[in-house]
Parts: sequence; structure tokens; C-alpha cells
Amino acid sequence: MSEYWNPFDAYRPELTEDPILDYFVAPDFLPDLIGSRKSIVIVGGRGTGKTTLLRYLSYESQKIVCSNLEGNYLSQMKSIGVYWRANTNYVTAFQGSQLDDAEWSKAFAHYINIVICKKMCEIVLDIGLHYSFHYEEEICQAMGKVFYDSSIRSFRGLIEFLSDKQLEIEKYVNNIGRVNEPIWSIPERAHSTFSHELVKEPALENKWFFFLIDEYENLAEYQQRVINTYIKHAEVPYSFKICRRVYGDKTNQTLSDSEFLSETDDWSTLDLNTELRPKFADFVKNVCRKRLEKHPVLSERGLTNIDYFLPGLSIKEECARIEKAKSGFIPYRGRLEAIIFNETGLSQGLKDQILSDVLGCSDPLLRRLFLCLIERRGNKVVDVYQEYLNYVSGKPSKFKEGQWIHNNELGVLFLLASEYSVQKLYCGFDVFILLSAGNIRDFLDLCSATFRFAMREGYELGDAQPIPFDVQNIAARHIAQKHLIEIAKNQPYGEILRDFTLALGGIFEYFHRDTKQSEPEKNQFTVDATGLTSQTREILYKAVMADILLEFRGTKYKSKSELKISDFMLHPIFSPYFRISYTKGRKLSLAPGQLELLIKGSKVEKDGVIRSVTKGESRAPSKVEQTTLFDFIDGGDSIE
Amino acid sequence: MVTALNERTFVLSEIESEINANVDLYFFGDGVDDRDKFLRDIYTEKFPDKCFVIHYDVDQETFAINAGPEGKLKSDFNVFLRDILVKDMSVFLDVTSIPVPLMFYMLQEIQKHNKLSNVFCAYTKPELYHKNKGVSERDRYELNEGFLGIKPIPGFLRSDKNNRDRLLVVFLGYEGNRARYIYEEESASTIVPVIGLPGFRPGWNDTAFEMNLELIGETSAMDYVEYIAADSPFEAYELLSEIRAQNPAKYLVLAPLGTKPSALGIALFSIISEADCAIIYDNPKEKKNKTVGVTSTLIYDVSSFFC
Repeated sequence: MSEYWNPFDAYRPELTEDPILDYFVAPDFLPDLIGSRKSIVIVGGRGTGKTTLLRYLSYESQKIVCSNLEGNYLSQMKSIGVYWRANTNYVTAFQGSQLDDAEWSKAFAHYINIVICKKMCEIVLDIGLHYSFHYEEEICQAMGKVFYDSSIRSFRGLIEFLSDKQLEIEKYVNNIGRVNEPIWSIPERAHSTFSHELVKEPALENKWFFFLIDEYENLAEYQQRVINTYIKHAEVPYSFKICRRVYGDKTNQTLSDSEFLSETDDWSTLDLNTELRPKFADFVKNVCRKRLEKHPVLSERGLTNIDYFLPGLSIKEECARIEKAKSGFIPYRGRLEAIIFNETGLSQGLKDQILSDVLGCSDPLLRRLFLCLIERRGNKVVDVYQEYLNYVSGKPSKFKEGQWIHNNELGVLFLLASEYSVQKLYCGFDVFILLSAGNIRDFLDLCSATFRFAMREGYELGDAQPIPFDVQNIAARHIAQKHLIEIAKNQPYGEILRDFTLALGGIFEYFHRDTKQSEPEKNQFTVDATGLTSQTREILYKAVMADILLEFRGTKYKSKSELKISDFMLHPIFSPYFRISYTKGRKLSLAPGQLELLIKGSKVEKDGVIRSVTKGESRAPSKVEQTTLFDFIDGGDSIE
Repeated sequence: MVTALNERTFVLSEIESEINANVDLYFFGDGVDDRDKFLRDIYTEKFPDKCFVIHYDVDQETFAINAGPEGKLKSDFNVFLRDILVKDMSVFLDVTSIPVPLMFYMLQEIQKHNKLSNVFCAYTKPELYHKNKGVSERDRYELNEGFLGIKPIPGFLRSDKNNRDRLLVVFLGYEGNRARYIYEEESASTIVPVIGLPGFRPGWNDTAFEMNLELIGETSAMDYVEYIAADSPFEAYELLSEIRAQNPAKYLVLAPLGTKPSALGIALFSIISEADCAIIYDNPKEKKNKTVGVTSTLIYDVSSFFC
């Protein structure tokens, strides 16, 4: 066996040894992002590539990119990116009952002054390896004034000074109430002064500084106000690029009670979901190609298209596969016969003819769809039959032109899987694209698990064979389960969100399995959010922020205050677990009171809501049910 | 005075009489598991005037001694210690019942105080951990009711002055999602998973491995897995010393998710190494009665770290 090598392991940009440039695929909007000197707020879910983008814009990455261009790298570099991540382990230290928010603000602003200037200093020292500075002492004296120290004469001295200041504030935070308060520097003075001073240097003339703030959502409200103030007051030669999750903004207020950020005046939004979604599949292929190219055999043979490794089944093929598993058996035959024979106004001969034609149809999808349609209120058997005859004879028909097939085929597939007790497979590049819903990390996660499971079964990457459907399916289900378990980390509502997800998934699972439903595939809910309590709304925001729900509404997302009537879909990444559809299906309308109980109610209350929406035929799973790494056939018979 | 016991581990019965004769102050947490109560019940009955039962609120960072008034950990705990600790005293901490953040904080504060003669730490092993039925493999040992989330252990906010690459050393427990959470939060370039081997009971080390297998695979960390005795703080300390020596260009970030003895080893290392490593912790809200019964109690003489 060859050495274990999974091209999709350790994909997180923060953790890859050669992090950004090795795997970076430039999105279409990159030139605008780099070119714009306005502050930009980049909004996207977990794993949509926010960190990668910011890291790419950082001085460290741009130095490598520009070094590969003609001329010296600094002359090619239009902007200098100063990256800072709001690391939870640090920013949460600046919270607590020992100080009020006003006092914490001073401490946090001082801390930000230190860490950002320290980062700038590191960059300047690196530039100093290639260029000589003319005004080093003057710049350092200006910075000394910011921090109330007149002894700093060099960048090296400044970085030492800032390191000591960092230790000083850490000591203060570690021992609040026991050590003296440091002398606080004035908010925003440090990075502003440093930027203005540095562009006086000939080597940095006309350069622009981007302050790249990652994981803004980790900041407490008062901390966001500090950063908001910096954005509000950004001026030549610097601006901000902020990454945050949807609903990651806790306030748009600055440190002044009467001052607010305004999108028109202060920043523009780049919504990654909107920007990436239209060309997501192509983007994903390019990202995967970069990983597969690392394998010498695949690279040599040109087998670096991920869709080659992830073959799928069309809906029609999968319906046939399901029926083939139980050849000769049509579980819904009795219902079909009953409806046709009970239809009034038809001769017995015509009834026999309809039944014979439908049962004799070689396409199981069409056959089962016929039953769905005649069970649907308002449809007459004879009319559906006429459309059927038109379709099979190649004439215009509602089956094709009227989109009956297109609108119902996935739902029919789920019904067939349920009726035949055969597992619906989640496999294929196109399905994985839909499961990941524009989230590159989710897609890579699915690939990583797929290759890992395949390799456990003896798959060799160098053989460059497509990965079997059932292995992909296991991986998809495994990732769904992993995401479910990890919901609990979204504190303080982790457990509430997990139970809500299980309840919601249970409801949608029922709709997909209910063979009496003539309109299957319900996997969204709609609610008038204005009727919800503030806490439930907060939990709903958290569910969207944590990528548990996808939110759809008429207007482009701007802020929490706009949350009114919205449609929500359980994130498709969970669909293999609940065995439900991964495309936008039909909606379940929930009253605010029902949603309140599904989110915050007791087990009994949740079950009450579930019974009422499923007419008493379903209950919420209370735990993430057990599957093992080798649980290939749960929920149905395994077939090849 | 107890002598020549530095950096050694004893079964309680081997040293009980010396402990009883020489220890001046006993500290316990207010946990409710059998193993939490085991020593506390014995000593609070035997030496009520020498015992302090500490309640700690992780969220508010407040504490209360013997069900007394609340104080703020960072500003008031050292006053409490200053009032009771006297030079050449011997102290005893039952780390079984003391929450991890409080254990770190107490040890750091004790180190700052008067020179002590002896510092003993005790750990009582459980008979078994509660196992959840009907849940996924990875969710099987759900030992906590939730998490407050990542925030620094009081007194342990630290950063790397030299901005080195970060090396995350995760002492693994049974809850795979905890290690993943830490991993996702920490921007470390390398991860070293540490597993207790042997575990407290045969097979428990396999559980820790199994629960974290996926993360180990995904992070290509299989070659970096380290094993230490689950009940030895000294092996944890030694391992960290070795990792430090082998990786001078990296900044160590330590995640004490494993056994309490291994967390004790991490605490000792991080206190002694004076800020040249960081701690990352997810502050679980522990389930009551997550363990059942007791098997044995080990006493660690950690005096050489403090005295």
C-alpha cells in the first residue's frame, strides 16, 4: 500500500504550512477588493474563505506575490496589509465584572494600539532589510509621543518597547485590582500616526495601509465599538478590511454615543455568499485542482478534476437503481389501483388501460410521479394520463414543458427510497456542491472524508479511480453528523441549537418519508420573526451565523434589525443525516409560537409542535443517533 | 516535616500518616461526584479547622470559601492566601474536586507566596465515567453540560513576545469535539496530540484515541502523537519540557483537555516556564455525577516546584 496521503487534509488556511499562496484561487472580485481604498466589510459564513482572503492581502503574502513580478517587490506593492485576528483567547480576557465597559474600552483600545503597531513595526523591520529609512528616528519619536515615551529612537527599539507594553497590559489584565493601571494610549492615535509617518519615507511614498481585522464577530460589543470608531475615522493613507460572519455585528455604534457607522459613508459590504455562489462550482474545481496537482501521478496524468473522482447518479438513474434492488415489487401499486379504479366518470376499460400503461412504464420516476399527481387535489386521472401519453409520445406535455418532472423529481426520489427502504445516496460532485451551499470549507471537508473512507477500504490515490457512490455517501453522512455534534460549541446556545436542529430535521425527515404526501420535499420554514421574543430572535440569528440555517429574503442582508418575515432552510450539509433534500424545497409555515417552542420548549413541548405539523406522526430525535465509521447501510438496504 | 518526597507519586495509604501529621492546610473544591467527596469527607471530619472548601464560579471569576461571601478571584484570592499561608507550611490540594482554571490560578498564587515546606496534590481515580447511550461514537462520552467557551484561565493571559509559529499541544480527553473546537480556534502551525497511556483503566487510552481519531487524521498529526501515563503530572511536565527543547523556534500553546493529573503537569510547566507558553481552555460546565465511585487516590509531591 502506498503512503497515506489525503490531498484534502489540513486544509484550514490558518494551519497549512504553506498557507495562502499554495492553494489560493483568486475570486473574480479580488481586483476590486485590492483596488478599493474604501473600508470594506467582508461578510460570509464559516469556511467561505474570509481568512484566506485577508491573509492573501497581508504584507507577508503580497511580498511573495510581488516578488514574482518584475521590479522590486515594494514598488509593485500598492498597499501594505496589516493582519490582526480577534483571537477569542485574548479578546475574552478584556471582559468581566472587574471593570465597566468604559474602563475596558480604554484597556482594549490600548491593547489594539500595541498589537497593531507591533505588527506594523515587524513589517517595517522586514522592509528595512531591503531599503534604508531616512526618517526612522523622527517616526519613532512621533510614536513615542503616542505612548508617552521619549526614549524611542529606532524601529527595533520601538518593537521592544511595544513588547514590554504588551506584557504590561497582560500583567494588568491578569491581576486586575492588584496592580496599577498602565498609562493608556489614546484610541486610534497609534495606527493613524504610524501610517502618516511611514508614508513620508521615500520607499513607502504613496503606499496605502490596509488594516485587516479577522473574526470581528469574536469581539464584545464594546470592542466592536472601538473598531467601529477606527473605521469611521479612517483617512488617507489607511482604511480597514473587516471580515465577519453574517449577524456577527453586535453594534454599529462608535465610542461616541451619538456616532454610528453608515454603509454609505464609511464602508461597503462584500457578501461572499452572493459573490461566490454563481460560480461556486468553477471556483471549487480550481481550489481542488491546486490540491490534486500536488500528487505527482495525478499531475502527470492530468487527472486533477475533482468531478472525475466524485461521480454521481442522475435522479433517473438513482430511481432505477432503487427499484432494481427490489425487482418486480411495486410498493405503491395498491394505492395506484385504488385511485384509478375509484375515479368516477371513466369506463372500466379506460381504467384498465391507464393502470396497464402506468405499471408498464419502464421509468420508475415517471410511474411514481404519476401517482403523486393523481393524488394531488384538483388533478383528474384522465387529464394526468393524457399529459403522460403526450409526454411518452414526444408531444408537448406538462410533464416536461409544464415542469412536472423538474419540480417533483427529487421529491419522488426520496419517496421511492422510503417506500423501497433503500437508502438515498448523497454522492457526486454536483450533489457535494449543493450540500456545501457555497461554503468552500464544507466542500473540502466532504472531499477529505470521502478520500479518507475510500483509503480505509484500500483505495490508492495513485490509481486515480473514481470513488464509489456508497463511499461518498458514507462520507457525506459522516460530515453531516460531525456538523450536528459540533453545533454544541456555539455557546451560549449550543445545546438549544442542537436540539432545535434535531427537531427541525425530524420534521423535514417526516415530510420526505411520508408516502401519503403528494407534495414531498418540504425542507424550509417560514415565520413572521416580528412575532418572536427577543431571545428567540437572538437564537435564530445565532443559527444563521453558525450556518445551521440558511436565510432567504427579498432584500439583501444588511442588519439584524431587518429580520422580519423570512424563509429559513436547514443547511444542506445536514441533509444526509436526516435523509432530506439538499435543494430548496417547499415551505412549512410556522407560527411564531410554534417556533418559540421548537427552539426553547421542553422535549414534551417540542413533540407537541412536531405532532401538530406532522399530524401526529413524528417525534423529534433527542440525540444524534449512533453511526459508526463502518455503518454503511443504516436506514435501508445496501445495494451496489 | 515530610522529607525527601519531591516529585514523587504515592498511593494515599503509603503516605497518609505523614500527610495527617504534617499538612497545615487542605484545599478542596465543592464538586459532587463520589471522587470529589472522597477525601473532602475524610479530612473535613478529621481536621475541620485546617480545611477550606472553595466554590468557584468560572463565568464570573468569583470564589467563596466554606460557603462564605463571594470574592473576586483576581483581586481577593491573594488576600485570602496571604492571611493563611505562613512560611514553612505544608499544603494539600485535592485537584480532583478543584476545577481546572482554579487549580491553575491557585498553584500560581501559591508559588508567589511565602516559601512553603511541602505542596501535595491529590487525585482520586473514578470507578467509571458515565457513558451516553444511543449517541454517535464521537458523542459517546459527553461529560459536560456545555461550555462557556474559550477564554483565558485567570492569570494566564499570555502572548509570545517573539511572534513565533505556534505549536498546539492538546492533551486529549474523551470528547472529540473539544479538541476540534480548540484546534479551530487556535492558529497553530503544528499540533501535537497527547494521549494518556496507560489510561486509568485498560482500554481508556483507546477511547481517547478513538474519540479524536478524525482530528488526528485530518491534521496529519499521527506521527506527532505522544503518550504519557494518564495519572502522572510529572510525565506531562517532562513531555512538555522535551517538546520545548525540541522546538525552540515555536511558541507552545497548551490545551489541558485530558485527565486532571495531566492538567496538573501543564499547570506546573506553565507556572515554572513563566509566560513562555500559553494556555487555551474551553471552560466546560461539568455534569454532576459524570463519574461514579472511586478506585484509588494518588498523592503527588510537587514541593520542588514551589519550595
